[in-house]
Order: sequence, then structure tokens, then C-alpha cells
Amino acid sequence: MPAPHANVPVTVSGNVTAPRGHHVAMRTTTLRRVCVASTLALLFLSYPRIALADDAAPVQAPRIEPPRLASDAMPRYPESERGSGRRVVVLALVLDETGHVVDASVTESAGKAFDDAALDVGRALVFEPARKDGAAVAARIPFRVVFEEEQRDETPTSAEPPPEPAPPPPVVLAPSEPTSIEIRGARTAREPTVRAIERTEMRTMAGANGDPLRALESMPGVARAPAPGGMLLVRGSAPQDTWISVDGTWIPLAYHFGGVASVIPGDVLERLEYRPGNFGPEHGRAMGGVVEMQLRSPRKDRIGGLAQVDLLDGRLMVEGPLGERTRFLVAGRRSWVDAWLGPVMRSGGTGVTTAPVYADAQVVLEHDLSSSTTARLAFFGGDDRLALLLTSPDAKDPGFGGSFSARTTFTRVQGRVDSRLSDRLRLVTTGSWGTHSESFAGGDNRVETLLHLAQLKSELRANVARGVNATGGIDLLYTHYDVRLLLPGAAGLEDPNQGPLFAAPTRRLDALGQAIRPAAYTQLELTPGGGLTLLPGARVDAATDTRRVTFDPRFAARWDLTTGDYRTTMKGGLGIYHQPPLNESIEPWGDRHVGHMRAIHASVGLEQQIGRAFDVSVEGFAKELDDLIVPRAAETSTASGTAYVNTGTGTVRGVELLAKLRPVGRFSGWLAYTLSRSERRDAEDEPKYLFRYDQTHVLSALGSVDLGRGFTLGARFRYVTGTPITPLAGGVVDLDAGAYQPVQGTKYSARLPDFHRLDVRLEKMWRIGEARLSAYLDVQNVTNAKNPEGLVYRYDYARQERASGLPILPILGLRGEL
Amino acid sequence: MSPRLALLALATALAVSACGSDFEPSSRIAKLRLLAVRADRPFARPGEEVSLEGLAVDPAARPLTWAWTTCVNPPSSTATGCLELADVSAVTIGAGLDRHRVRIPGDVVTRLPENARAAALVGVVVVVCPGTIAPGRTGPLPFTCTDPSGRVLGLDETEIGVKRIFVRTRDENRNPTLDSVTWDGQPWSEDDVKEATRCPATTDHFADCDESLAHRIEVRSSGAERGESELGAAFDEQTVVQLYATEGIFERPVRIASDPATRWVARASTDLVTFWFVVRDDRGGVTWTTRRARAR
Repeated sequence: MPAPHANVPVTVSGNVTAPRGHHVAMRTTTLRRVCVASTLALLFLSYPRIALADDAAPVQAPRIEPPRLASDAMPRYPESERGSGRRVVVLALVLDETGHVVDASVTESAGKAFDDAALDVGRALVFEPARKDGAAVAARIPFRVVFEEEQRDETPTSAEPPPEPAPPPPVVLAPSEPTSIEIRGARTAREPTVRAIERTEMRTMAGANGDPLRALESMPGVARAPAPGGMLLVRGSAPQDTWISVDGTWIPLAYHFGGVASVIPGDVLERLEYRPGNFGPEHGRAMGGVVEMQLRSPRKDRIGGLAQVDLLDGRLMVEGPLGERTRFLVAGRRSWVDAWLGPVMRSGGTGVTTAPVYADAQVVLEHDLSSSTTARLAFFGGDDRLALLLTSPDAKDPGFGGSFSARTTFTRVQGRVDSRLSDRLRLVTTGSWGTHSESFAGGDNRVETLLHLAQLKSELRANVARGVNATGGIDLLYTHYDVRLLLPGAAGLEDPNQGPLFAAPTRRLDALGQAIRPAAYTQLELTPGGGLTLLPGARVDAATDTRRVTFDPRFAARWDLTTGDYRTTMKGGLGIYHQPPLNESIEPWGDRHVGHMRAIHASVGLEQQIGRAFDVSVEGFAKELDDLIVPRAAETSTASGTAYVNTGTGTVRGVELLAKLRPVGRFSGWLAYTLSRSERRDAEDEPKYLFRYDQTHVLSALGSVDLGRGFTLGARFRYVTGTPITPLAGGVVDLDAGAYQPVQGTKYSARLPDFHRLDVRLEKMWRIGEARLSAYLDVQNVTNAKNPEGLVYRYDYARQERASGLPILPILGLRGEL
Repeated sequence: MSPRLALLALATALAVSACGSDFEPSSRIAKLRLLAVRADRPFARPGEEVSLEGLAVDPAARPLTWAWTTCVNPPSSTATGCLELADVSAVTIGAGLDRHRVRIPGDVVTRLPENARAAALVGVVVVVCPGTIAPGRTGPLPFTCTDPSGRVLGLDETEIGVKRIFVRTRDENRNPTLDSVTWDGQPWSEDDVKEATRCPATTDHFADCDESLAHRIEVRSSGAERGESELGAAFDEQTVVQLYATEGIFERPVRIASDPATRWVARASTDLVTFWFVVRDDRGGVTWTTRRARAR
């Protein structure tokens, strides 16, 4: 199963272990009490002034300064609309912390020509950023563009020289009513580094094909996932160490089929936030990084939508208002890879019953309960399936023959209420329920899992005094599982070199049970002045399956040494992060004594803004890992065939650089570089080795330029150190399979050659009335570089060749937006 | 292994199979190969004696030295898992010693915890060396093979294999039965040397040869068993046929028992091509036969 952090069994039925349901119920009750009590205690300790606020001296509300227009624009009254008189277009502008416009959309139209002109103006504007208690924050504002047409005499006398060309009619630019300004991300970042990718960036980045998570792969600290992809590798951590969520709700998989596309398309996201380390205590159960996808609000002004089709999939989306206070968004996507991959696989001798198919759907229904409370109901889910009939068994492993099928499905229904209880209090509660099923059948081997997951997260944010904010919350995760496995014994080792599966002894495990993982957290945000922000916090996690309680103190700080266009900020963090075992490593599959893994994160960095357009940040980071779970073959002592022990340790060291040119003018882009080293040791008396995903150098350079006339050209270049590999010293014959098992050399002691790739994207957009039509060509690996993605071996592993990855891949797409 | 990982493994296997690498096919016997070891009892009871017979082929026809030893209840049932635990103090070594007998310890099942008794097995380690074998660990291997000049031979020059004998108190498994072999639909006996015309292509791809030069080879077998094991797990044996030859190209070198036919073309002029057809079930049962053809 793919690394769900949360779904670990407690009770077992069937022929593995006797049921222990009663025992669990008692423990659960106790843990609940502990959880509730500790949450209340933390909230109380964190917010002593909240209790006093109503009957003691009033506290000051946070000081909000709206953004102010700082740049001049040179808009034109549309020539084609002369004589139309005064026209007003209202835009919604999304501004970042520096006051630059990162997204613009029309909320009140005055017709296509005026809308286009207004959008052109809006996107070029620069503001003094919105500020909260003096700190710059992102904001979403309504913005009015008023087109005024001057009266003039059109009949000059013949005796007079020809008149000078008439000046363009004036255009009045003004933010709309300040009451509707929405401060975005108003809370201070609770960690030294939060990187965000906005919707526009996701959509236009070369090589990402409009995909949010693939766009994320160009961020510093994110290593390149080796083929076939589908992993997020953050700061030298394993892919399962990074928590991926949609507005706080954990999702079991991030990508469809090996990284082809994210399970949540970029069109339905407002932005994607990525925390590479030292994240705040509201995030738990992960010791790598945190990736949060934020669903966007449906548009309020009118019905709109989009349709898009390219080589991989087709997608549709409809959104709009349902009355004054309600709006909706419905989106769906289905791949059509099966239409062309099926015949290709059949021609290669593989009978395809169901060629790879992926699909996903998202529904958002948002309602304003009052001016201060918004409720949202969302659904999202994904489905991947494949069925094959291998008419001829594989010579390297006759176990790969006959029929294979695999399917992964997940669904989530999420409810969220965001209430501003007062000027000083905000309560955000998110609850979700969903399923996650995985099935695989091949030969006599099969896996069927069905998980029901419920998650409740409630967070109270309060301004308790000038310069003192507090946050506290609870985070509860419940999992019910039903799992049936029939697999080779040592399969839990997940070692690609385990040898042929044919004739390998299988084991059967049936398990039914539940696990509860409650947590509580709190954090203070102290801004004593001088640009300093201190963020002490803590998190307590409990788990019924491991029967353990963990305590994670965390601290972060940011210090603005200078402000304005040449802002200099120092930042740093130190904290403890516990991560529960993966489900395959705990009872009944694994060991009942296996415990949580732990990481200590430390980081220190510097951010430097250089003018309005350029930012540079440098950050050094270190991680100390211990209690890592190490699998050991134990077919003759355990039910699963694998024993799991917390004997592993590891270290990660690195430095990241991000130089970003904001979208001012026609060009934007960034350069990201990470230098790092990640090592592991399975036990104290065993040698240290390079982590399997270690990449010394990861360089991404990307940019896009507005060529005018609706053309945009983008490019991305990546250079990455080769992935570590374990050299093979030949093979020994598995005489029950008639095939070889490789003999491994020193673990991860060699590397594949370095990787480099250039992707280019050209997009042309037309405006047709209210609609926008785009055609794009996304060419991946434009130089057709033969990047080694692995090695292929002769049948006896005595000889090897490099296997190249993706050749040049042009993806042509069409996209229409209304 | 999660379904996702299993799928990944499958995809990788498919990708590797489809890569069209330049390696010679595994079905071609171009070097010393240990193709099979047959136990008269693939499933043995504690205390029983099991007779083993090996099938090794050396195209250079060098004299072969064999070594036999065992591992009992290794933590990993993989071939390398058994090698790590192989008993190097009780090795039987002999020239041409392709047969051996192993006594199953009486407590091999009962010494395991209840939930792990499905893993009870005795692994038989077999070494075939075109030279001299000396017991003793060299890296992960429990033997050293040296040629007559004293040079230590690597894994690509010698053959080391592991055969599992599954230990059960009641369950049995019979080796599959080889029923018939045909060449272009005609019976093909062991002393019947068939004639073939060689394909002028020099590649290892069957598709590069004219179809008229291909010969249909069909190896029929029976004996696949199904039922429920003494441990309560249902089983339905999968049987495969692996085809080997000293020359030529098989269209598909591994077939399933229910679809056992494939085609073969001679690739070079050789006086005689020797074929070995090995039939295996997925519970350790195996049998084989050999045939010959002449390529012109």
C-alpha cells in the first residue's frame, strides 16, 4: 500500500492473530480523554488573554493596511469602442506579499474589449503590499478600472494645421470599496520557509503540462523523482515522509500512474503551498515536508468554465454563482492514454484488457452563511486502473505471466466552516470522510485493501494582544481497514532485487480493524517589534495502533532587518517531528513493537528582496533522523515474513538557493539550486550508505516571456546528479523459477550518470467575446537527451546496459475558458 | 508489497522486457548453465530423505565439479537468503556429481512459531564449476571456484543455484509430467534429429527471420494440481515451459502449459543444435527433456 501515514491496523481477525477489539475500545476511550484534556490545556495555556478579553482591558485588533497603488499604468480606451462613453470593469486582483499582481480576473464585465484592456492594466500594476501589524501580506482585492471618453471637436478648420493626435481617453484606476479587501494568508507563516505556486504559474510552466505537483518539482529542496516518477522527494527524505493534503485533508496518493498527472488538477486550485522543513505544529505525522493544495473558490460573477484536451487527458469544468451567496464548481478529467497505449502494448505482445486509465473529479459548493462565516462542501477523488494479459511469461521471472489487474481509488467528502468570530478570533473547522481502496491481482498473488478514513481538524486563531497571536487546534484521524493479502513472504522488503516471484512461497493475511490517531497543537506568534517574529509551538500526537504518545516542540523565527523594496529577512527554525509507522510495518503485517520515527529539523536562512522584481533566498538545512524503521527478512519468525525494527538513523545536510524574478513586465522566472547529501545507517553496527534518493546537485532554471499578440513562450532546464544505485555482482539461480536472482554489491555505492533536460512550452491565446481559447505545445526533453533512468541487465545479471528515460515528447493541447 | 508497488514492478518488468536490449536471449545456452534441479519430493515431510538430480549444460564440454550443501529455515526464502545461511562445513563435492540426497531434519517445522510454519523449508545449494571447488566464503558466496590455472572464476563463469524443498507434515506435490514434444506438428522423440534451414539474419530478433524458416515446437505437459494446503490456503498450480537451445531464436522462450506452442528458427549453420525443455510448476515441481536438430 502506498504509504498512508494514518491507517495502521489495531485489531486482526482471520488466521493471523486473535481479535483484540475490546482491548482497543478501552484504550481508545482513554486516549480520547487524554486528547481532549491535552487540547484544552494547550489552548488554555496558549491563550491566557482570550479568557480575559471579554471582561478585562480590551485588546487591540490586528492593524490591517490595505494595499496602495504604487505604479502607473498606461491603459488605452479601446479604439473599437469609441463612443461607448463611460465604462467600468471590476477586477479581482491577487497580490503577493510584495504587492505584485499574481492573478487577475474579471468580476464585473463591460464587454470583451474593455475587459481585455482592464486585465492588461490589472496584470501590470504594482501596489504597496497589504500589511497586517506592519508585516507585508498577500491580499485579494477588487479593483475598478473606469474608462472615460473625452468629448472633442472633430472638425478642424482648413486654415489651421492638422491637429495633434487626440490623447487617449483617460482611464481611472481605483481599488474598489476597501471593505471587500480580502487579506490572503494574513496569518504569518508559521515556519521559516513556505513556497507557493500560484494558479497561473502552474498552468504555464514549461515541462509541467499545467500540473501543480510537477510544477513543484522545480522548487528548491525537491529532488527529481527517478523513473517512473510519482514521488515527492523533499530535502533528502523518503517520499512517504511528506504529507500531502487538500486543504488539510490527507490524500493517499498525489499522482496518477507513476507521476503522469496530479490527482488534483491545477485548474481547481488557488495555490499550492510547499513547506520543505521546520513546518509549524499544525502539521504532523510527517518528518519530511508538507504539501498543501488549496481548492479555490468558485467565481461569483457569472457562469464560466473550461475545456481542455491534450495527448494525455481531457478535462471539463463548470463554475459560477447560485444566487447571491452560493457558488459552485464541478470539474472532471479522464485520461485517454488507453486509446493509443493499448494498441502499442498489444503490438508488443501484451494483451491489454484495460489499458491504463486515470480519472478524477472535484466538486466545490461554497456558501456565505454571513458576512463573517463561509461554509464549503467539497468532494474530490481519483481512480487509476489497469488490466493486462501477458500471453507469454517473462523469461527473467515466469511469475510475470497471465492476467494482472490493479486499481486504486480514493474519495473524500470535505466540509469546512471558516468563521470570524470577532475581530480577534477566527475558527476554521474541516471535517472529511472518505475511502481508499487498492487491489492487485497477478497469478496467485493478490491484495485487496479498503480503508475508511475520517479526519477532523479544528483550529482557533486569536489575536490576544498587540504583537501576540495564538493558534491552537485538534487534529483527529480515524481509520477503519479491511485488508486481504496473498503475497510472497519477503515482499514487505520492497526490494526490487528480491529475485523471481515464480514459486516463491506466499503468505496469506486477512485483517480487519481500526486505528485512531488524535493530536493537539498550539503555537504562539510573537511580534515584539523591530521586525522580529517568534513562533514557539508544540504538538502532541497519540496513536492507538502503536500505543505511543509523542511530543514535538518546535520553534521558528523571522527577523526583517530592513523593509521596503530592499527587504532583508533572516529566518531559522528548530523542531522535532515524529512520524508513525507505515501500515505495512506494523501489526498484523509487521511488528507490534515498532514505534514512531523521529526527525530533528534545523534550518537558517536569509531572504533578500532586490527592488520590486527580484528576490533571492538562501537557506541551509540539517536533519537528524533516528528510530527509522528498517525491514529485515524474517519468514521463519513472523506472520508477514518481514520484521520491522526502529534501528535506523540518518543525516541530511544541504543548502538551497532560490532567485526569483517576479512577473513584472514581460518576463518572469526563477532559478532554484539545492546542494545536499542524505545518508542512512540501518543499525549502529552497520555501515553508513547513501540514501537511495540522494541527489547532490539539483538545478532548475525556468522562465516565461510574453511575446505579445497572445503568445507566451516558456522554458525549463533541469540538471540533477545521478540517482544512487547498488551495483550487482552477477546472479545466482533460483532453481524453482529457472531464473536468476541478482547478488548485490555495496548498497547504493554507485550512481547513474547525471540527468539534464530542457522543456519548452509555447502558448497562443485568443479572446473571443467572453471566452478565451488557448492552443499550446509543451515539448518535454526538447534536445532528446538520452538520460539514463536505470540499468537493464542480462538474464544472469552479469552484463548491464543503461536504460534511457523519456525521449522528446511533444504534447499539443487545446484549452477553452469561458 | 502494495498493489502500487506490484504494479510498478510489473511495469518495470514489462519495460525491461520491451527494451530490446542487445543481450543474447536467456534461452540460448552460450555458457555454462545450471538449468534445473529436480527433487523426487518437492514437498517433503520432516525426517524424510529427498533425492536430487541436477541439469547443467556447458557448451565447451568441460568436466564439471559439483558441490552440494543446505540451509535450513532461512529468514529469507530467496536464493541469496539461503546462501547467507548455507552450511559450508557440510559440503559434498565431486566431479560430475550431479545427484545428491538430503535428509530433512525432524524438527524443521516444529522449531518455527505457529504463524510462520508455512515458511519451513530446506534450501539446497548447488554449485557447478568448470574447475575446482573450495568451501569458504568469498563475499556473499559460500564457495570458491577456480579453473585449472588457479584463477578464481566469477559468477558469470560458474553457476550457483538454490533449490527449495518445502517441508509439510501432510501436503504433497508431484513433479509435472511431460506428455509430448512435437516439431511442426509431428512427434519429436529424443533420438529423432530434425532438420532446419538457417535464417541469414544476424540479430537475436525472431521477427528478422522469414516466417517460412520457423518451426513450430510444442511441449505438452500435465500434472498441475489444485486444492487447499494443510495451512488452509487455496492453491492452483501454474505450470510453465522454458525452452533452451544451443543456437537459434525462440519466438517466445517461456510458455504457459495451457498454450505451450512457440516457434524457433535456426540462426547459424551448426552441425547439431541441442534443445532442453524444462517444465515447472510454481510449487517447486520440475521435469525436463532434451531434443536435437540440425541446421543447414
